Amino acid sequence: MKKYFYIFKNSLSEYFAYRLNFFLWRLRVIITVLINFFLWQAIFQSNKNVFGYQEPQILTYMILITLIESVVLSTQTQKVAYEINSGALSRLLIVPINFFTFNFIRDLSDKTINTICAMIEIPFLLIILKPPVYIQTNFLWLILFVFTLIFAAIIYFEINMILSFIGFWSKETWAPRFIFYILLMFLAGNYFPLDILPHPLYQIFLLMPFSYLVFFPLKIYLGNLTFSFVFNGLVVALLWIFLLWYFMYFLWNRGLKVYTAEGI
Amino acid sequence: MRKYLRVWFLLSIATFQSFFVSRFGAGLFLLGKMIRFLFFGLFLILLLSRTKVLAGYNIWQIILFYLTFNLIDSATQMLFRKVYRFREQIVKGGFDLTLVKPVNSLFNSLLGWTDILDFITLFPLAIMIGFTISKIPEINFIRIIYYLILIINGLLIATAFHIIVLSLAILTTEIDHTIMIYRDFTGMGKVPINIYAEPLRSFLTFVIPVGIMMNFPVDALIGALSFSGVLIAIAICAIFLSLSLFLWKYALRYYTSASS
Repeated sequence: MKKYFYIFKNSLSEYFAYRLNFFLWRLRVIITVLINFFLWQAIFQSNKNVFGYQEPQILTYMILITLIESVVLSTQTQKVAYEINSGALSRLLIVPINFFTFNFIRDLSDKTINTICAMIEIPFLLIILKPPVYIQTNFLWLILFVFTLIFAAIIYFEINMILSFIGFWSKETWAPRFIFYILLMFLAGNYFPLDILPHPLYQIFLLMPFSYLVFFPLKIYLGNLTFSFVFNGLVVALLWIFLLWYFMYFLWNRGLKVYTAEGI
Repeated sequence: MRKYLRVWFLLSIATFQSFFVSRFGAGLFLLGKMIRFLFFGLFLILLLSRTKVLAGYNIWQIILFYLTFNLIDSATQMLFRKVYRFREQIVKGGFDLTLVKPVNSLFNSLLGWTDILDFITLFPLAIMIGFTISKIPEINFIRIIYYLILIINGLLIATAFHIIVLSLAILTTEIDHTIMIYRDFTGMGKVPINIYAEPLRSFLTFVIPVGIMMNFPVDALIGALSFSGVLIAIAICAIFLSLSLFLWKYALRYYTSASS
């Protein structure tokens, strides 16, 4: 267990080596959130209720994206593709550590530092922008929110590992990841809550794993949902966790068979 | 001038050929760009279908803002893609090879890599802009001329910013995200900057003139910008361009040829 603590500590240290870069990365996250925040605020200037949402609900949704970006969508797994393509994976294969735990811990350090920053940024944004926000006080919804964040982080980890495993068969790992990020921005609900979409499209989106990365946790935070929506959502999210877990290991085992340590 | 056009043409042909080496990856990148463009456009249409008006602009005007932003953004990325790779040259000392060539180093660093993927998107964008303009009433010849002048003006401001990014890469090798920060800020021009609250709106008009780059052309076209506004935009562009060139010359003196 001690070795994983040191992996966590070393990964964390990398951020302090490139502080300015990290600061600029956080600035980028805030700018993206601000674009959506002001867009929605402008919409509510002439409307009290849009797509069944009131202003505090949507603005809370947009500001909490900062937290989701940190807890769920921050990752180091893109390094895995590079490690496969450069042959650096060989070094990890011969040391007595679990490859997946190693990457999960590396991700955890990324999430920790980003979440600490988000915890500073969110109050700062609330003080500067003074938006009407929705504070969830029901303990049950808050507990469920934490659970769905954990589910989302696991799904995101699995998808990213799968994308990195493309490196076993191709050097073109960045292009599929680029497509994934773009799909993520829209299908996960980064720009808008997915339930503003036409109903049939929304139902299809609910079957995809993307919805459980951003939309579902934030919808849970906002509360006032039916039991069936929450239950179905948790079941579909769990199903995706198991399916992606199986597929991730399947690709890993297949990939190792074709891995040639090219680049060493 | 003819010599530089010829050099640019030759460099562009070479970079176009390089895209064919990784056709699959290039195809995915193009697909990604198209999905991003379509999804955000559909999101705006979905919003406007419900609210009808956004910051005083109707749906066709908002679409024109979005298309004009994409035109300027794609043209900028097509021309200045090499800027994204410049820091690596500085860190590894590869910029030495640019300096010894008988071609202006700024020209080479800015225009040395033309992105075919963005080039492909320009023509459909121009057609969509033409169609959208036809849906907006009370547009006359003078306003179209203003629109075109201000698009060129926007491209020149974008050039100035890319020169500033190049200069900063020389002065401080630590910055990795500068060009992406620039793109995030200009991304705020996808929609009219009137939607942003003060002091952000003033910041986007005068400090990083996203409004002048991305919004002024459409404002001039729909009659929301006077002739003096056009002149102010040109003056601000001239100031930014002069400042960026001054910064470039200043930064060159501090190039240390690290790692070479």
